Amino acid sequence: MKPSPAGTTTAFHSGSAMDDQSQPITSADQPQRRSSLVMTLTWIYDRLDFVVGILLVAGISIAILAIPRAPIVVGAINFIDQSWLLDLVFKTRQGVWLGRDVAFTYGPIAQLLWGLSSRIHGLSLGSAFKYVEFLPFLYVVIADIALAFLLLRGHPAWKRAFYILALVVFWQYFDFRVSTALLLFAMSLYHFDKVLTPGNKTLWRSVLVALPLAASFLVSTDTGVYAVIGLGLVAGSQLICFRAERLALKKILQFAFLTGAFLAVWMFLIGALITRSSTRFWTISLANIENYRWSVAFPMVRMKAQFVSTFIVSGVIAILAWIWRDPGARSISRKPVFILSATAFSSLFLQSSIVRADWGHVAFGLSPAIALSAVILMGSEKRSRIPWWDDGPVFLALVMTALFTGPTPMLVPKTLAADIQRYRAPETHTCPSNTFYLDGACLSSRDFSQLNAVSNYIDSHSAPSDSVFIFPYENVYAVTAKRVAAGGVLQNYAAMGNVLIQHQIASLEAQKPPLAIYSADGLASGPVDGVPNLTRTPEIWLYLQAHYRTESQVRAGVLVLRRDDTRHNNWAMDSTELPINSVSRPIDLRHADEVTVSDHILWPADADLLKISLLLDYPLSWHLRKPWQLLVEVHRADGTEKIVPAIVPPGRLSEIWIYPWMEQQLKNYFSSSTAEWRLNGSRSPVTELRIKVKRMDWISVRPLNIRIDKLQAVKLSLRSTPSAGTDVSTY
Amino acid sequence: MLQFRRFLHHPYWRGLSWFGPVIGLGGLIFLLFLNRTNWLVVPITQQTPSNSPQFQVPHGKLIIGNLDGMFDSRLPDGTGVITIQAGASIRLFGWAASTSDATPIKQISVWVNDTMVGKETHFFERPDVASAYRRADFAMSGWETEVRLKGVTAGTYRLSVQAVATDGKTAILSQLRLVVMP
Repeated sequence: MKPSPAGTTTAFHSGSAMDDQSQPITSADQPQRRSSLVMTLTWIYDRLDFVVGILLVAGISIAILAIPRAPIVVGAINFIDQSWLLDLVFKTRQGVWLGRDVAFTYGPIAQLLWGLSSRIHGLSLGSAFKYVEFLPFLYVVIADIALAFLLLRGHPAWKRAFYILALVVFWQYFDFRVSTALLLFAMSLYHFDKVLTPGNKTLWRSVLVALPLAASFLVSTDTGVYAVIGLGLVAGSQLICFRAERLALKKILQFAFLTGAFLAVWMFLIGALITRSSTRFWTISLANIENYRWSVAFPMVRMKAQFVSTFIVSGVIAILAWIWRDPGARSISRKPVFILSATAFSSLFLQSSIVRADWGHVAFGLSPAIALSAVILMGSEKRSRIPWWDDGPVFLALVMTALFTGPTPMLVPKTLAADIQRYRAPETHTCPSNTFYLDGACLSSRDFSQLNAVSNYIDSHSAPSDSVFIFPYENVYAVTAKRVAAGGVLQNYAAMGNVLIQHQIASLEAQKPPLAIYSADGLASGPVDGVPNLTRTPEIWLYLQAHYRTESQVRAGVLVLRRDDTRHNNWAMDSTELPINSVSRPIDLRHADEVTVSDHILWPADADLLKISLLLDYPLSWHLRKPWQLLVEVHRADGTEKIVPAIVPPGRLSEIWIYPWMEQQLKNYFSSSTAEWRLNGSRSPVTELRIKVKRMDWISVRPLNIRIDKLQAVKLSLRSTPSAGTDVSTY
Repeated sequence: MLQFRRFLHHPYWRGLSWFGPVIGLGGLIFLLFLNRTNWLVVPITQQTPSNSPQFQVPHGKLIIGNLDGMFDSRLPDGTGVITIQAGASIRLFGWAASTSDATPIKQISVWVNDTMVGKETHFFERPDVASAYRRADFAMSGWETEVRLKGVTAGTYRLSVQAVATDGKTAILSQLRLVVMP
């Protein structure tokens, strides 16, 4: 353990000059007959940061591990988020790894943490639900402790203890991506600070800084990007702060260059080791974040107050810190380089809050601003003659904590006591009434019947070595059926942009999963952010429709599809051009929210889909904000209309695919008989089409103009010989 | 002012170096026992996306709905009709709603030609329908029914699904061809 810094505490008794640099008390000054109790308390006081850290590790362990071994009662399963999480966990057993075999927004380190946690008492559905967050949460606590030690060096141990306790229990969003990015930012600060001291080993230091930075891409691509930009911000801040000192500038530039070079080397090696191709891992990783801003943008509904107030409070703290900065301080948190780079890093991280502004992501993006402002609020490491006055900012942090938040529920002492009590109580090994047992978990009747029916079917109609393709995102079906979920992208909504779409289709072509599970929108699945799954990933839906036929409908809207390569040979897609009001001419959207694409459509008989080729231009600021929402309004001959939210990449010619009627009907298109494709429900002809743009929230950006290049009615069919003019696609 | 500075620098304050750790850490521990909500806890109301696809109720229609499909574990025969063994049963599901609050749907009837072969009076939640039409009163519009085709001999029939409102008005939700195999 690290001894307390000189000039800080060595005694713990009322009236002593504890923490007082002006009156240090050495061991020689201690009374000879000090009681062992006082010595013990002094020892603990000097190591309060470690003590708090250990208590928090114990708290997390109790909160997650002290769960009875009996089957866990699971509420309604979230078929999007819990599906990918469970699938990742089970993929560790199947030897399928993120980054190497499957692309997703997370990386293999994240998968490993979840996978190992879930295996604590053997892998099952129940164990995954119980323990999946154990190692990730432990990782967060340990990273927060390390962060405190890096940024609050020179401060008394009790301040680090306060910081660690407050950060873990009250302030932070429990996510290892935030913790990793913050820790690497602090590490960059620490090493850039150290490099200016005489006799440091710049070369080795740069190697050691570059390695975890490159490895952070294995946690998730956004973590890596934040960490590398954090390094750049620290380097830039150092250059600004030492612009007048040539020797220091030379050292900073040398260190920055070496770190950059080693970072490139590590990144190359990681890419080559993981995929045996130096570029594939990085191409796919970057494609993961390239399309995020427009494809999963979400409005900030009710978190605006929290977002703005946190931003303002952090800004005020940063300004005050700048006024009271101390370039010669022992603590890095008082130095101008910290104040500059931390402010820039916190502002950058707000991008996560801005783009997908649901509650969780706003909290995620605000975490660095809170954590780094709180470092400033830990005050000075130097002790003045009025110690309690120095501690004023800490009290301010305490008051703000009391005013704005409470403890994270799992670490409240009462909850922990109840956890222990429950763990020690006699166990029952049956599921409560109205729930049903499945692989260590007690599920609701609806979830059980759904999962059981699908997994039984897969089990009896495919070999254990067969993979299963899941559309759109219910990977939990493959998990319960103990099969590998096929595809190169974990869930289809994540296959955004040409690189990932082609990667997904190429993987399906290579794996040729014999079965696919199709969950129909509105019956057994739902649109992601309101965008129907056909409209979100038309290429993948069309691929599925061209290669698979219905074998059975095992539950309402859940189809089991069988791969049928003869179907693809007969599959065809005929397109009929429809008239457009303003062909290939940019239409100004700065003052209009609506464009009539066509108001005199003669809908061809039996046409199935609408395809709109368009280009939507935005101001450059969309790269820092997010696009407005796009709505396609389909008017039908019977007077009804359908409004479909759609997504398009700004500034790129792209296509929107729309099914003009009820999305539920799309499941009919997997029948081997084309006569069934257009059965059930109304198919009133489309007469008019409008495109609307709608403000997503206060931070979204309005498009400049829209250009409609083509409007087509598309008919899908199965026939033996494709006719002339048929678009025989690559699907 | 001078007196205030003297007050601040009084030796008594130096003795209060315990003040920071005790108030700071003690305060945090005290907050641990207070029943306050953590700012990161996501309220239930925030968990549902607000921008799902929207539909409009057709003008002048009292009853709307759909036969979404049927549970069936047999392999499709590729003829485009429902084919079933004589005496077997089929499970149908869908939704039906009345656009008038005064006359809700009371029953779903399944007809083979002109003979009613099954009915369903229990309805379950279909939040997707309520959300798509922005009509909270459409929430309990889901239905599912098992129809036993006892007494229906081999042949080809018309299978109709009909929704019945409390005022007796009816609407056909869907019509299919039914082939009963011997």
